[in-house]
Amino acid sequence: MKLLVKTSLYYALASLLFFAVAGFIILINFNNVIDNDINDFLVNREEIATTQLVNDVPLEALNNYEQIIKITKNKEEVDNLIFSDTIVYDIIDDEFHAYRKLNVIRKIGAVYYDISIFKSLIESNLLVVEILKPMLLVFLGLLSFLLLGNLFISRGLWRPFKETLVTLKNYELGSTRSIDFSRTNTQEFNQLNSMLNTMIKKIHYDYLNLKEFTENAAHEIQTPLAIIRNKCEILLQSESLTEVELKPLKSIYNSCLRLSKINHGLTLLAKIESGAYDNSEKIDVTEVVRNQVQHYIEVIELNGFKITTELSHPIHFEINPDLVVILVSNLIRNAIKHNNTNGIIHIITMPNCIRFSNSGNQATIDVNQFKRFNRSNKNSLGLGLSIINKICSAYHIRLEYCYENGLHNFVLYF
Amino acid sequence: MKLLIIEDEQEVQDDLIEFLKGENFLCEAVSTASMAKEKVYMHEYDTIILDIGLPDGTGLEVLEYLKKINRDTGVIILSAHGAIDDKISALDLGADDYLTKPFDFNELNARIKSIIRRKQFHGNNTIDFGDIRINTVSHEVAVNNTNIALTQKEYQMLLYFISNENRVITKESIVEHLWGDDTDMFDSFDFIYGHIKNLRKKIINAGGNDYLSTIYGVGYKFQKV
Repeated sequence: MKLLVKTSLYYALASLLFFAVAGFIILINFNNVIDNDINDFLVNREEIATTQLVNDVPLEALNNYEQIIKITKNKEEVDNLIFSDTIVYDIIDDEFHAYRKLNVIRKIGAVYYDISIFKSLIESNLLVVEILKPMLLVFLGLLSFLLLGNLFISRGLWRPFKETLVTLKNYELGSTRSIDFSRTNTQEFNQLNSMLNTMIKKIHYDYLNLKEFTENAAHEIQTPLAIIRNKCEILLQSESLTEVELKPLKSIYNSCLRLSKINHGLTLLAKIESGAYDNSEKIDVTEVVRNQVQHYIEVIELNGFKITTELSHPIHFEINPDLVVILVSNLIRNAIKHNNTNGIIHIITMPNCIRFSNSGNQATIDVNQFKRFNRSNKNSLGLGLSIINKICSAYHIRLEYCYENGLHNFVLYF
Repeated sequence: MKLLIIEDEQEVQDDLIEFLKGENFLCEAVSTASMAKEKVYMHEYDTIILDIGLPDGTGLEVLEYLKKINRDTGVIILSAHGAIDDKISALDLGADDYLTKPFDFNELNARIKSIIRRKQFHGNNTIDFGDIRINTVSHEVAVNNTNIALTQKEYQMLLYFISNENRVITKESIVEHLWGDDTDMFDSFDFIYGHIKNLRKKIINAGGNDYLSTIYGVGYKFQKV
């Protein structure tokens, strides 16, 4: 949820709660005032009625629809005013109406009178509604004003933050372009920007250092490796070595070969990362696939695999001519390495995409293998897929992997 | 056969000299580009082994210089870079071959001999080894004057064995020679036995000697009986 939506929502909720409570209190106050008013009115009317009774006005003349006076035998609770709310059936309207009722027993002369005075509450209820209506309008107006105001103010206040986000999003680690945050007049955002700046400079510096280190390490390792390998070969030529001595020597020799291969892969990765292959030209990828299949056909057959291809769609793509060969050959090598006994390899081109499928067990590859050294096969160096992934991301080729019907499928979308 | 080794890493240089002397080459070695230019200006060499990374320049400069003074010498580039663009520019500048460090001595040996063959035997493209005769142009192999049919891999293997006569050759070295960078495609190198067995059988069936001996746990040796 966006920050702005979030704050607005909180504002709205808080305001609604406040308005509800305030409205409730106001309503109760109103009701009290009106009740008091009506009570006064009733008392007033009762006093008039009592005076009239004292003055011997006949009972019939006093009774009407809002005033009922009866002679009662009840001699208790004399002069005790009892107020109550009641409903009275209105014949004309054919419905019940709310009324306020005052009941009192008065002793006039020797006679006890039960006096009930009624007052309709219709008008007072209407009054409350009429007063609450504009109040509600004012509340709503205030609420929307608050929300809109908050929206506009926040939008303005947070603009530098958004700009910072956009700048960060467009920044690419390793690019020579330095990051540039715009200055704002908000202290906190300036602080944030300057801290980000420091952090990114540090990361950039570390990144360059690391990259240089990797490149240097990979390069410097070649010479010692060459020496180890050559010394091993010299020793292997020796006639005087016994089997006990030859065995560890052979194992040093083999490890040295393996190390060279890993180093070779790492150097390649470092080179792709550092943009050593940035010249590109329009190339028919299908043609590259055709050539590479030709190149690997013997290896594939020696491994006992069956390869089928459907390479009828040419795919023209702007890419470095060396990298496209590395990409395709690594995909084919991957299909060879992670295959079953008597497995199959199938390569098909479609307009704008190529699919490499090979049989294999599900567990042997997962998407994690796009990272370095995540390997399942002891003979695999674990670098092939990261090289593939690196080249694809450098040229914005979408790479998808799925496992279906016992087949590993790698699909490249150009 | 006179070779010039241009390599700044002393240890690698020493190993190269020792190995190449063992192969009966006459070797000279220098470790800088300027000394290399001096040497090639004064002497003729059959083949030059040239390291790309030198303290006072790159091996490519030496290549350019060779071209400038019009020396038709075979050049094998050694490089720690393994970069394809390096390889291309080296071959464009007239290098005959390219090896990436770390390299295999037997491979280097085979490549030097192949260059020397190309440069020297104008018209005469045959190699004789005991009762085997190889025509390096038509790729025909004859044992006791009877042609035998070899597959391309068997042919390459035979040439590799003959180039490295009397030397122990590991299985890995053979596979690397035949398949280059694709050696890691194979779960095991056992399939190489099949190739070797077939080659051996073809030579023996044609009445040839069995030149190949197995060095247990290490590899093979090809030698005259």
